[in-house]
Amino acid sequence: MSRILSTAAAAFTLAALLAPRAAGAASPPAEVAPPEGTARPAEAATERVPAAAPADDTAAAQPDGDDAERRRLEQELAASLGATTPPPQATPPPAFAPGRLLPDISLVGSFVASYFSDEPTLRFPAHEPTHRGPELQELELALQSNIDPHFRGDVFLAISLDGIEVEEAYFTTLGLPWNLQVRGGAFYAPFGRFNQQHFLEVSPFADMPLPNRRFFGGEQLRGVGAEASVLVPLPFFLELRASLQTAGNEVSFGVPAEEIRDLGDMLAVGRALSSFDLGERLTLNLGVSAATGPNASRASLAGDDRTAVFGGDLYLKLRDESSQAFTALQSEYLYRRATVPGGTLEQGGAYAWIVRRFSAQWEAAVRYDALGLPAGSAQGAPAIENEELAAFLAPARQQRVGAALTHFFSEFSRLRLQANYDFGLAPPGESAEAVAEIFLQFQFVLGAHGAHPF
Amino acid sequence: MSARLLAFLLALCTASGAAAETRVVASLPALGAIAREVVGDKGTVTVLAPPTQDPHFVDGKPSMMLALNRADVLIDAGLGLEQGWLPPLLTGARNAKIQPGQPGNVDATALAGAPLEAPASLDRALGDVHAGGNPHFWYDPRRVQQVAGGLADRLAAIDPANAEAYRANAAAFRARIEEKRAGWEAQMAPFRGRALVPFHKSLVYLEAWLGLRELATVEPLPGIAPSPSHLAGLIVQMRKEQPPAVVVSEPWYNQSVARTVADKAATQLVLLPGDVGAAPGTDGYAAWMDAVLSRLREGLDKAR
Repeated sequence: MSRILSTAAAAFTLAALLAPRAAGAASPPAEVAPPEGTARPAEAATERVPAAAPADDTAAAQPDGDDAERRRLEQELAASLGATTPPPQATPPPAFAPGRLLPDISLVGSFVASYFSDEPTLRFPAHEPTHRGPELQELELALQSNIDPHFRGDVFLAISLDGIEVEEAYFTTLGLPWNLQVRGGAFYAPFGRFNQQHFLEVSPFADMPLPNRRFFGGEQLRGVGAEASVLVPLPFFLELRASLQTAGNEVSFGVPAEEIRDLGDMLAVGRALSSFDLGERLTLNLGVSAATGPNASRASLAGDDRTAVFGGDLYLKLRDESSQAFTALQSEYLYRRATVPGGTLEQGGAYAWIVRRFSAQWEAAVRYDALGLPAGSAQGAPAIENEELAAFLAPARQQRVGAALTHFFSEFSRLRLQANYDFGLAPPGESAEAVAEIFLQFQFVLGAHGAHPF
Repeated sequence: MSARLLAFLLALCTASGAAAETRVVASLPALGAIAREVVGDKGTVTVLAPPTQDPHFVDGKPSMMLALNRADVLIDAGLGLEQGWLPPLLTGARNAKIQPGQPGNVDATALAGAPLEAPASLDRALGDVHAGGNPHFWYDPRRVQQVAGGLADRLAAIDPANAEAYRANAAAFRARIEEKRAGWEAQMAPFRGRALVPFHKSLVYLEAWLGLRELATVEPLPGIAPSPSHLAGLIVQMRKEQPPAVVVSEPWYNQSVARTVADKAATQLVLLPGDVGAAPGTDGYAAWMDAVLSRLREGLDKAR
């Protein structure tokens, strides 16, 4: 353990030392592109701005003759005034104009090196660290653009060493009447806060909170379908969402038949999100969500077992007066109720984290998460016939604490060191094996990645 | 019960869409200041970003979606300046009138003349470069005058009933700025050719306008935090400069780094007020530019 730790620490220090130097070694911007008009009389610079204000985007370029005369005059003035900087170069329009017609294309790479003191507690192999040693968590390829004046399109492909999968691919309407909006395609269900996020990009940790992992699995709650939402015209922000999606979740939801028989075999999710500005710098988001759908707990087809999950989420962010620094609290509570052959299962879970972004370069976060509350009580004599699901649906207790420190080399690359102490997963009343976990995560962004919602 | 609720919601929808005055939303305070001059009493102007925040890193709060939802016109800087926070708000606003390409979506840099520093090649090894050029145009009042004119034309097309008022307001604003500009240029004339060391490449338009030189920036590259080796090189470079270059920083950059560079290079640190309205007495564009230039003159004067 100590060897891995010291190697991790050395890599962390080395990278922290190297990156700014490497960036600093590149030529400074002043030499890359000298600002036009530098060391030029203001009168000469005046000519740079076309006299007439263009009324629209089809601003006419200056005639070639004017340009040539301007350049000649500029060189003459520069020579006579003894300017030391080279005359500004007319910038030719790039032959390949990025962003024109091509969608915004980006790739987010997440790599992690992990240490576990013992067998890690139950999880599906997806994007979380699962074993000792280095892993590719995910390469996310994002293609984002307006489709036409009516729709916007967002596609996220998750590439792993095992292959490629569609993480999300959906269209969004841009201007329906009555403040309505429709999304269609494959997307994360509008349940809670964490579930709708690409957590590898926005969470201050390298892994998932316990309730989200246990209730929705490693791929989170998502499906193919459609969602309607409305921005309610009130003085404060209130958004209502409702979606109907396929119920192909790894854990809580699944169709127990060969194909969908009726709408009841779909996953239905509803959500209300409200947001309040408590002064200039403090913002509070409050949300409630509910999901209902069939589950696949029966070994035979044609069961009528159902799962319902309810959740409440809170996000409180205090932004510093004039820097990128902020402090934020994020917390969610989830409750699941599942009918299975012979009875009903109940399970609660919650997480809370506080993250402090000290500056553009540094961030620290602490987290507590737990399963229990209620501690997975069962009614009747439930017997989960689907063995793969049994481990995830069975009542359980678990507690965990974690802390993470992140260094941002720039907006586009970061290194994170995280430590968890997992008190262990066990049925209520039984003792659990504790596990210590350490993650060293490196992430980078290539290209133009779309902004994340607040 | 549900029918009554629906009727109530519908009433709210129509009520919020029926107001006669033009509602303009500006992404940044400087753009809001221009819009207020042009709109005058024919509408309202709402500004999204606080004047004390770096325009690259504003929090795109859900409440901003409400303002965008009700807007007739959105004016933003463009060139990717607000790329990190505005697009999700624009999608969430569910307002067809202000989507990109619509008359209600006004890209200020497209009205402000050819942008400076449009990079010939794009590579993030050069830092967080803006593909279309430098977006910080409002440090040049001539470009602000043009944006006012362009905005008036756009508003006139959207709201023909008040077309004359918008054009007259813009003309009056442009004339006022023209008059102020003569004074600003005269005040700054003694400093022509002097060198600045801005924290970020946000002052290129000011430098081009007033004939100031940019010796270097405190950041090695846009959006990249300076390393000690870069700062040491910068300080050595600044010590050779006579008359001394001054360090210039907006309030959202690392003030202790800016202060250290100025101290070690035995020169002045000029703290700019931020955007329009960030400091007391900078509520209009002209008052803000007065403050910017008076702070700059003071620093350049002391650093002789």
